[in-house]
Amino acid sequence: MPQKVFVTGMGIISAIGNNTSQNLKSLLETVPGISDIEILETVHKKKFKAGEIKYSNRQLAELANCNAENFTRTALLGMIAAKEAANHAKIKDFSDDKMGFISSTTVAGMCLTELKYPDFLHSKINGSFIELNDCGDSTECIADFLGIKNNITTISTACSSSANAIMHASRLIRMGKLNRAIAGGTDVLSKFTLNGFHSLQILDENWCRPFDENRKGLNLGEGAAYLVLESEEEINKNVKKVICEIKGCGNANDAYHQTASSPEGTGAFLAMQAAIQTAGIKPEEINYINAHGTGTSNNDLTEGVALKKIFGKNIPAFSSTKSYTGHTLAAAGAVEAVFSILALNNGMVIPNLNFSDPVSELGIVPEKKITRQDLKYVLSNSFGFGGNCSSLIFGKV
Amino acid sequence: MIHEVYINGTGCISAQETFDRNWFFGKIRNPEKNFLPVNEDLFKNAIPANVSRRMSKMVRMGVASAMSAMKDSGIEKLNAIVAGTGNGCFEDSLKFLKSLVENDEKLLSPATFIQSTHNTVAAQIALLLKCNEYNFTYVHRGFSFESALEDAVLQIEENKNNNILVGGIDEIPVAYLELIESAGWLKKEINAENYFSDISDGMMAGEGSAFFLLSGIKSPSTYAQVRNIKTIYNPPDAAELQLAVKKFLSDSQLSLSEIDGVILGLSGDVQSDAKIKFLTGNFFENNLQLSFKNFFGESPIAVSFAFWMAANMIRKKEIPRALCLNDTVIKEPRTILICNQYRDKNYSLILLSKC
Repeated sequence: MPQKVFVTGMGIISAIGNNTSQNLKSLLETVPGISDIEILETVHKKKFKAGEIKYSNRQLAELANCNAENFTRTALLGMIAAKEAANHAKIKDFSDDKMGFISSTTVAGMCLTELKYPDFLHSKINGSFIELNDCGDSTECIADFLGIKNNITTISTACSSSANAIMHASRLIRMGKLNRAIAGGTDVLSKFTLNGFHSLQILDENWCRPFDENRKGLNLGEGAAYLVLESEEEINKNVKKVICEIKGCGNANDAYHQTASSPEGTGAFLAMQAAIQTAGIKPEEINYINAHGTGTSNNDLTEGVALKKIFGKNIPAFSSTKSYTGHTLAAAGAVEAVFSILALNNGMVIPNLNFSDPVSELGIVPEKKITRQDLKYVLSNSFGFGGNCSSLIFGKV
Repeated sequence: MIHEVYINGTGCISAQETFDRNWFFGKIRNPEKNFLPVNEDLFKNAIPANVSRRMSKMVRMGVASAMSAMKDSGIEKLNAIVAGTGNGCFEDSLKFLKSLVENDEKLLSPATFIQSTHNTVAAQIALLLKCNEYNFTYVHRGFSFESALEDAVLQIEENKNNNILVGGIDEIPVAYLELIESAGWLKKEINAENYFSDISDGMMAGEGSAFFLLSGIKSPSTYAQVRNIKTIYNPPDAAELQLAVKKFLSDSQLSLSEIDGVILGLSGDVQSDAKIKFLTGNFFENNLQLSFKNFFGESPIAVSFAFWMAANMIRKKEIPRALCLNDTVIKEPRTILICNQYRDKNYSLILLSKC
């Protein structure tokens, strides 16, 4: 019998708060965290805004209660968010062999490599920063910090990474391989990604405008978020408080282009369809969609096309919360999973900021102000380079 | 323990001539330096020139070995593509970083940034095959291939009709070699004739790509069966590792004497090898012991070459003498255990058997 999978804890750090309650407060007050760049050292400081967490690495280490010298910013954010999630779920035994940790990142240690590599290019000495460059580094730092000993891995599928981490952890629990897992992702602002997205000409110099006719691109952000997932059996055994159920998951590949999405939104459509099927519900039962909604011309159009294909004329209330946090890349799926769950449990539809005119080809309008209503199912989309499309459905318990 | 997961196709590109299906450790290429690069001439006709021109070496190796595994299995329609890579598209990442540094963050071309994401290989395979199915990439150091394999097994346990393409890819571009050399990861000199007799620090770097077609249904092209997989993170000492191996064998309902050969992830680095070395004298002493990193080099996905070796040993009923570290005589290799380590932190056990 496949096990049901429940969320029993969550933790987050983003540009709108260091923890879940601060993030909820910012969402309720519709206060975005996108501002001028202050911490990241880049020549584009004045040019671009970002969802930057206004703490230095030293200050983050104080928040995490660890030594800043030993960790990348990617690891530090992850440690803060994962610790909150673990505390929230009141996990006692981290070394349990049926507990897992599935993390994700795209920037990984590049935030450190980009600072050290210029000197290395000249001197060719002291390249030991390479040890912290790979994606596994932050995962192992977080696992060591919490004391997780088994079933550790990392996923990197660009901007759908942490949605996939949650999906994989859910599958491991559903199939009885694990009883409990912490899953999510962490990514930080870096010159590498800022210049990368700039070279693709998909950064907006002003506040991003998801789903707006005149959208100019995305704002980058940084953050980390993790969920604690547990099997039904584990919850019954420990009489645990349940936050929500992971109801459905879907991953599909657009197989159209390395960075652009197909005009038909094939991957997005298939991912949403698979999530709805595995949830065993009808599309009309979904009450709110936390869209991928990056604010780029390409994404919002094709995501809109896919939404219309799935839901027809009756698209549920939807919004992109990237207008608050910026696009947190690998962390986005988990950040938005936390927001989706907050929406579900607080009975609120989160508004999409900076919207004025609908995309002419679509004619669809996201939620513009906060509305309070009872929600049963929330769908969250995350799409990434390489055509990677993922959808998660959270159900109220 | 895993029920009915079969390896129905393989494709392997490495420092040796593994891309040629008839090759099995006949002519062995010895390393000249402390790294073992892939010779692209060995597979240059596998991808049309107009397609391969736009790809990095990493993507070319991944795509060519993936296509080879599919051709070998006769399967054309996949239900999932699952890849593992420890370092991702390192060359393109560092190229983009270098141009960012040299041009002071101005007027950069996006070409290398676009190809720098870790899931590029799995994405390019999907793009070439027009495959809209499940597409995952695992990027956890010496667990990258193992995690991909575990995921593939889950997909088959969910539906035994699924055909899953799973593989590992890592490259060693010059920029990476410079960094790991300065960090002291590489051996100073290589004793190619007797690689493991030299007990110095450092390893020899390797690169390549090995893909496999896995299914829950046996076929005429079946090589072997995947019986069990386990990752072991950072065991504090050899005793703990030994306990994990014992538990793995009992979970797999096997005794040590039923193992016909154990492929060891010895890298040549005396410190990283210490725990497995201990097991060779105190646990595996009566088993046939085999090595592979002296032929393929060390990399986060080096274990995928051991997986390829084990599958081929079982199908060909042959144990090449060059791989053997001791004299234990085995009639036919039916059950092979891989005991790998990467940088003394990521340990893994994979069990394959004849089916």
